Amino acid sequence: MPSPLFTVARTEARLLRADRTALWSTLIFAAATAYALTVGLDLRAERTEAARAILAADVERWTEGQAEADSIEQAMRAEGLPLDSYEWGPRSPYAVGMYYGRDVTTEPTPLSALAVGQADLYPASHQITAGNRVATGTSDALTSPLRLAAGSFDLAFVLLYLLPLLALALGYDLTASERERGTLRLVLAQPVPRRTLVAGKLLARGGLLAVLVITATVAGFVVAGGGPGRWALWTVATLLYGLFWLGLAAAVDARGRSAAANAVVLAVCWLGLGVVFPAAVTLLAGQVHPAPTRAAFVAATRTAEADASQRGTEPLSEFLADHPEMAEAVGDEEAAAESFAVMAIARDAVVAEAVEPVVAQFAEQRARQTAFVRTVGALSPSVLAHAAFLDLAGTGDAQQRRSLDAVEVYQDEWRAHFEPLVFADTPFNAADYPEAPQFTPAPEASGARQTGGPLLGLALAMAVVLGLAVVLHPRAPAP
Amino acid sequence: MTGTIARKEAAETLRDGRFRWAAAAVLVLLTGALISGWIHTDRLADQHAEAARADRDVWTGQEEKNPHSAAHFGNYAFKPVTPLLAVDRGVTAYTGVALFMEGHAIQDARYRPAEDASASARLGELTAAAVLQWLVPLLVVLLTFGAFAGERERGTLRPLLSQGVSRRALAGGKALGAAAPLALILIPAAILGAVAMALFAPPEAAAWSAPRVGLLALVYLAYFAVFVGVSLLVSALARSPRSALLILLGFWFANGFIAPRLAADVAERVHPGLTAEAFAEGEAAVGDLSWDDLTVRVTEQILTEEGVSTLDSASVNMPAVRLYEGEKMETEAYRALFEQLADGFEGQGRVAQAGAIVAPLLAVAPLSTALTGTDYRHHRHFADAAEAYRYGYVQALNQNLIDNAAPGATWDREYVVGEEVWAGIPAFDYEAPSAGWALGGHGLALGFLGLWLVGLAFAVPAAVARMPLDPR
Repeated sequence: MPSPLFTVARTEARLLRADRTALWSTLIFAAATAYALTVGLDLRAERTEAARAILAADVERWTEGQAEADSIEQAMRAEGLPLDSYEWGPRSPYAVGMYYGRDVTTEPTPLSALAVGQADLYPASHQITAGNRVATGTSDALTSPLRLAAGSFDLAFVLLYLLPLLALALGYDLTASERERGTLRLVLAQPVPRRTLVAGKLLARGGLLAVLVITATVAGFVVAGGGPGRWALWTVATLLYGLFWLGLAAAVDARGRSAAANAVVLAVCWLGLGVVFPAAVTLLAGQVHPAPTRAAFVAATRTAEADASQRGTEPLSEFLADHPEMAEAVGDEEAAAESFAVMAIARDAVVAEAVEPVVAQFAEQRARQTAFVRTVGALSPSVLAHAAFLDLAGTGDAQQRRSLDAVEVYQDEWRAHFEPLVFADTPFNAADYPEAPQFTPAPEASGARQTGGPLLGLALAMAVVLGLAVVLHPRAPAP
Repeated sequence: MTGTIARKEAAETLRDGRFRWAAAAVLVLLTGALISGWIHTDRLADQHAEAARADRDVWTGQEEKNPHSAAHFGNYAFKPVTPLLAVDRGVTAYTGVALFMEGHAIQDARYRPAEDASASARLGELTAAAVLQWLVPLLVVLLTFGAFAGERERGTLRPLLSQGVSRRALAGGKALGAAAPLALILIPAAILGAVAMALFAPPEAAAWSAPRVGLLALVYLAYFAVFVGVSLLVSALARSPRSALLILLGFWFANGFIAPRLAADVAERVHPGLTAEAFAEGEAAVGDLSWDDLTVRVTEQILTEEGVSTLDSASVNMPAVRLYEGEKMETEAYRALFEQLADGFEGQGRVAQAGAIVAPLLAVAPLSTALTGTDYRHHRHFADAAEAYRYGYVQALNQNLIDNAAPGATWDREYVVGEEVWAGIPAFDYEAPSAGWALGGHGLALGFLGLWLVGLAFAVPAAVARMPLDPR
């Protein structure tokens, strides 16, 4: 004989199959998932194509430069000229290192098709040059601000916003109508404990939810191409999140009010936890740890630049005092000061140093804001699920920080390579091209470690509401 | 009779403990959002004004140099902070704040605040607009879903109408009965907001804001009226209060959360605008404009105009004239490119507004951002003003060179100017457009909002006239 729990769950599953609300919710969820996957894939394809085009153009420019340098050198050799002189162009360390530079780009992660996150905001590429540190990371924005403000209709959106609605639709009327119609009394006349009845109902509805979630995530990972580890973490996060909302609905239902009253309370809960609370946390983070606006950063940079240019050759003397190896390469300081390139490097160093406190304050406040959102925001399952999705997709704050760090590391390598050439006034020969530093994008973090916290928070939230539902239901007012 | 019904409805609502809680929450959120919005706006405005002052000092304090070097040194325009940013942030997080203005190049404003915010900021912003667009409609739904369906289920609808109440009066009374408690929340919040504005904003900002705030209030009132109308319509026709509630919650969710994303996405597909590649090609094309051809053209022009045979005997400096003409040439090409980009964005906005035929928020949100001065059109207005200023001052410097550099064919290395020329270039002074201009680009949204109101004004009485009186 099957256990009563199983019998209840099977009966409930049959009832659900006949339920029009459940059917419509499922269909809408499936359609939204399918649409979200096409949106995500299109966006990723667009960004991948842009990144590859930039990369190809950069490699082509670099190879052409090398070939041109080579042909100039052959012509010079043919004329019997020494190779230690050069003009503006592909053999000039000034032109190559400080003017042409290189465009670096990072391809979008595969899972950015599921959670666009911040990926639509950041520039597709950075131009790396020496002597121009503070300008890195800005470019004209080519995506419609309206679209950015609205956000993308990606799978993360469907799971964050629509899945709770589906779960609430499945749970808001767990027992309310049966109580109103009086059929609950009839059912309880059977030898089934109330707790078993509720657990069985939850099992059937949770089962449907789980099937939908797993179908959606499998479909997502198949089309986007993610590994099984990440899929498992993503699916667990989604299941915990969905079951939290189902549990919340069941707990609200346990108060013994009408189905309509439950729907009202749950709509308010959804808005509060999913929209108002996260927005309030962001607002508070900005108020508690205000970061200076970029206008302040720009003004500081300009003031420092003007100051450096008015101090004549002083920045050069300071730079050479700080870099004795360069002083050796330069030899005559006065002659070196005539070089626009040498002065640009020296001034850039002075400006970067002057702006450093503003940049540091900015970075510190931003880190504090992020930490604030991570800790206080943990009270909302929506914030937790959002963080987990973005971390796993590699489109969140942490991954963005890593890829910017990689760009900065590369810029330092680039400067370290070209500055001595400029100071020593040595040509950048065709043979030197392969020696120039190459960019390696930041490896994609697994996201698993950061996901631990959010997963734990989600599990806790789910356990609390499900526990409440199972404990409260038997105590609900008699039907 | 309408008044009696409205009073009874309002009194019942006000007695309801749940309404009191909800009202208190809305009031707290609305005033909290407004006050924090003011603090944020104030801080931002100060920092932008300070940055503008610092950059002006840098400009006027330049050492002696060639005027054209100063054009390369450039000037920054910082986007002025609209005082109504406290109400609605619009797209301001996604448009840049600092615009660099120099010779030979046009840029859009850079440093978008969203780039510096954490990812969770994109879950939403707690502003007065968010409360008015999401929270208040939910409250309307909760207040009115049972208006007819509830009475019908309780069996009180037939006795009520048998007492000689006209159906029209009943509909009017129900609508007013929902509006009155709402007014009790919105009026104090509006007063608090106005007081906060009077305290924080300078007088000229308040004068600029006043007509916009008035229109904004009308737009939101129309929005709430639409929600009251839809609620009454659904309540009159629904089978039960529960199904009325579910339908209305579905509408509320689709309108507030699905429609904006879906509309933005569809708009981009329908109206793709300028791609990144096309923009890069356009920029490269500007870079490829031939300065050698220009040299030939300018030389010929000088020689013909002055009737001389060589530039050595001409009365002007050819490179200076060439810079002036080159700036003209590049600016034309750049402006066409940026216009194409901006037209694409605005076109997408219009396509998205067409979605207002099913989701009224798609009309209300653009009107709200337009009236608060936080939409893309206002950003473009600022960027265009900065571009006009850029061209003007760069050409003034080039003209100075034409007027004063030693005549001939070669660049005058000796000619430098100083502070009196720097100070003679006026600082960039941006004047934000009027409320009429703000609404000008949003005829479609206004039309759709009007359509909803008119449609409901006909549909609700018609539905009430035909609604069944007994539960099914």
